Amino acid sequence: MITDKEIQELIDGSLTEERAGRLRKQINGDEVLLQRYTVFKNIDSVLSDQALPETKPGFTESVMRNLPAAPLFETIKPELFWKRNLIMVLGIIAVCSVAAVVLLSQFSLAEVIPSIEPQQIILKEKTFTIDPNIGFRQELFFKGLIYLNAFLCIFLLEKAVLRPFFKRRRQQYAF
Amino acid sequence: MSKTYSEISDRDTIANILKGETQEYRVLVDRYKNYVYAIIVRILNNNEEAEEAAQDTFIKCFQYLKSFSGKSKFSTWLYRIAFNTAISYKRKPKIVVSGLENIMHNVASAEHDTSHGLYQDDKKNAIENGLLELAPVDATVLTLFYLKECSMEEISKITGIKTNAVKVKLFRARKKLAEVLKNSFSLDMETLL
Repeated sequence: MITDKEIQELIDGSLTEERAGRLRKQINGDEVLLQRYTVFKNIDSVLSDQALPETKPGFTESVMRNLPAAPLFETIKPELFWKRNLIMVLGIIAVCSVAAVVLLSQFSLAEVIPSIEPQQIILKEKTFTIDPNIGFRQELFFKGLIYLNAFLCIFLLEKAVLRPFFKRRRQQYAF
Repeated sequence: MSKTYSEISDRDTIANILKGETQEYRVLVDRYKNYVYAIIVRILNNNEEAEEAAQDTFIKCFQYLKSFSGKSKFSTWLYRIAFNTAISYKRKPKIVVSGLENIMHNVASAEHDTSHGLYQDDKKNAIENGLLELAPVDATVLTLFYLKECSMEEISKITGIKTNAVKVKLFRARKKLAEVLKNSFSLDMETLL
């Protein structure tokens, strides 16, 4: 069974001489195959013979009139992209950390969330009392939560926004 | 490593432009305008819009000329900008007013459809119409392949699709073209052949 892919490869000339010879023989001996081959051959020859469409007269002049005085931008070289990303991520981490520390130094957690008892955690209306020997430190726990959230925010920002953005720019202008 | 004449010439021209001889950019525009236009018009299917997008492409290319590293051919870099510009034009919301040219084209196509039998020109028109039914990226891959200037690797760089995927798209586009021809004309195969 000869596939359409093989017929196209034969037309493109990407098959070995031996395989191409065998295929030609089979095509010549089978009318249905010959019809399929001829359809693809027709498509190939029409596409190959297509004249290049032409722009309107005065196209070049119009472009030259609208050019700035000199080439303006120079995009960052690909090898420097990771450095810029790193600087941006570090900057965001610094801003988030300072914001979290300032917030915690200004407000007491007991004021913000008065209902939480230091040694109790309420889940689905059930109260779990923590063994006093464990020494549960509420402030440390919430600080940890804030830092974890900040880390997740940065991670998601990098994955979902920064990386695709810079990848697109890199592909667009610098290769 | 040996370089083709056009490659050396492109690079010399770019070097001169960057030295301040901006009028030399005209050489590059004249050399590639029809290729750029061919890529864009295949995606946009609208001559007026394609002309505008082609101009934008050359202006962007000039603005970012310092960024051209020379690792690829200048034409590959330029076609990549053309492809991205065309895609962003395609995404713009459009006012639904057909230009006179498009109306004339539709009238001509309608007249064509009523005629019986396909001759050489009809076959060409049938394939042209089939191309309009392809997805923009598939049509671009076909156009780039038949420009005879681009290798699979270059098409991959221009469209941002992996080389193997380019091969698959090329195969599927031609297969779809064959199907479109059979379906839309429901003619006996002898005429098409």
